[in-house]
Amino acid sequence: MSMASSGPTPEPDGEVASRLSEQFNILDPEQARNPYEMFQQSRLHCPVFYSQHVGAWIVTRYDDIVAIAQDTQRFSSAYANKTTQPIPDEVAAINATVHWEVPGLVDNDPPRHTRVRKLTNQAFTPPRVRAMEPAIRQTAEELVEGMLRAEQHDLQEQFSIPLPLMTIMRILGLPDHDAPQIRTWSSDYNNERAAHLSVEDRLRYTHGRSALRFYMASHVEDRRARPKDDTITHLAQAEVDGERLDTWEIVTVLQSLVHAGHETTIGLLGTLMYHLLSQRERWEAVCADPGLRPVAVEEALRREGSVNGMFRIALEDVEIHGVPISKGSFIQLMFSSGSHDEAYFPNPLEFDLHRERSREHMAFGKGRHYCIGAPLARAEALIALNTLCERIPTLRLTRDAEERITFMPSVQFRGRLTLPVEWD
Amino acid sequence: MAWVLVPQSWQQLNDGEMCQFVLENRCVALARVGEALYAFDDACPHMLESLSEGDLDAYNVYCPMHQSGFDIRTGKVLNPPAESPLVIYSLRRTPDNLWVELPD
Repeated sequence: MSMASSGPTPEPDGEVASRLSEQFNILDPEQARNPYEMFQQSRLHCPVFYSQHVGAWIVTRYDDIVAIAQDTQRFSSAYANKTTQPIPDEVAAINATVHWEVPGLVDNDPPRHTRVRKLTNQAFTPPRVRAMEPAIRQTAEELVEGMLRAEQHDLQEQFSIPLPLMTIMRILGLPDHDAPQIRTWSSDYNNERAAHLSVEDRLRYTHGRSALRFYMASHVEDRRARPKDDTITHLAQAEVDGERLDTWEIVTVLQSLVHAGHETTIGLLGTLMYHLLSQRERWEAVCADPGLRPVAVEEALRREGSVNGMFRIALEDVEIHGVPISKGSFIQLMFSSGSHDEAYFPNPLEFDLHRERSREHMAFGKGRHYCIGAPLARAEALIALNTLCERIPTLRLTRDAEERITFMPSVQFRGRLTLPVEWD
Repeated sequence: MAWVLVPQSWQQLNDGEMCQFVLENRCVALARVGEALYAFDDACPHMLESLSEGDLDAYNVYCPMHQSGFDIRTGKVLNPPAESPLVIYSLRRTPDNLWVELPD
């Protein structure tokens, strides 16, 4: 069966496909910094190729990604969040104790996905997000005050990491004092997704993300006994068609909310501030004109999405641009490439504050699994930008920033972990 | 186009509430904001979810699945991921009845 695609199938270029198949490795530090040239090669010459390092077929064109994301009959999300790498026995044993395979929001298909999504969605509707904005603004102000008092300044560490972390924890109903521990566990989850780890490292990270699941399970049980006015209680009590979510199902949802709810926004804030501060005129323009700030946020989402791509599994034999893909194969929908597809975004490497269609990017995915936290992420980014423009207009990258910037070591997520800054 | 009679249960709709009617094989959402009533296609243009199961915030309706937002007076998209506007239907009130104009 073949896929519909608006883009013409290019003349097969076996040489490019073969080179990409061998060389494409988004975990390589150099490629992680700039995967966009390889994405472009793929879009032009072989829009579907098999990556030996990732262990999946990589799909890079906008229209193909949309078609697959919307086709839940032939492409399952059940393994969207799982690693394509072999799982050591020791890790599998730990996974069993924390019910790792129980699906939540991301790694789920209809009709179960519909049920979980509708329940969770209620905490993230645009009106709910608008109601949270004063509290997010207050947190942003407090973090800027802390930065101004500190002697060493890293925008990610002191501002862009704590802002979304504290926000998502408060939405869920988790105590502020657990933030450092949750950050460590969440990083373990990220680090585990870096392929080619030693078994020892893999086990260490597995223990971390498993501890996060036990922590969440204890909070779910606590809310069942002592309900509060928070999202955990809402999920613990909610019923759909007379059926409640079970504890481990809620844990999977909470884990993905706390993880994706701050890791991706860390990436967004880092991208936004890097691209604004790396060209002085851009930063001065957004400081002078608040009307440019929402466009800057969208352009940051488009230019470097925080999620490189998500996985699907082919439920039957399919053919995309003449490439046969057999049932059971992993397919990675490379959203970061779709947001650079020249058919939609001319000069895709340019961070353009006047781009007309920047809001059509794929940073939040497409179709049924469109990011539940999109309104929250947009609100956080705009509040962060407003606060920094107003409080520290002389903000700039340090001279050695380029050498000191590090990225998350993840096959799925993209984001800067450091962004050294200074001001007058 | 044809004017179709809306079942009398519309009168039980309170301010800020929505409900669905199946009229001429079409799912139509009805919303009340204050004394005013608005009718629109009860299928989000994004993934066809029922909007009457979503949130109504003044004149804005939000999809219960993906948070697409629309102005129920004009159909204008207020919040992605929907890209196409919501289909709005005209209403006509008589002293005892409510009519909605649907395409043939």
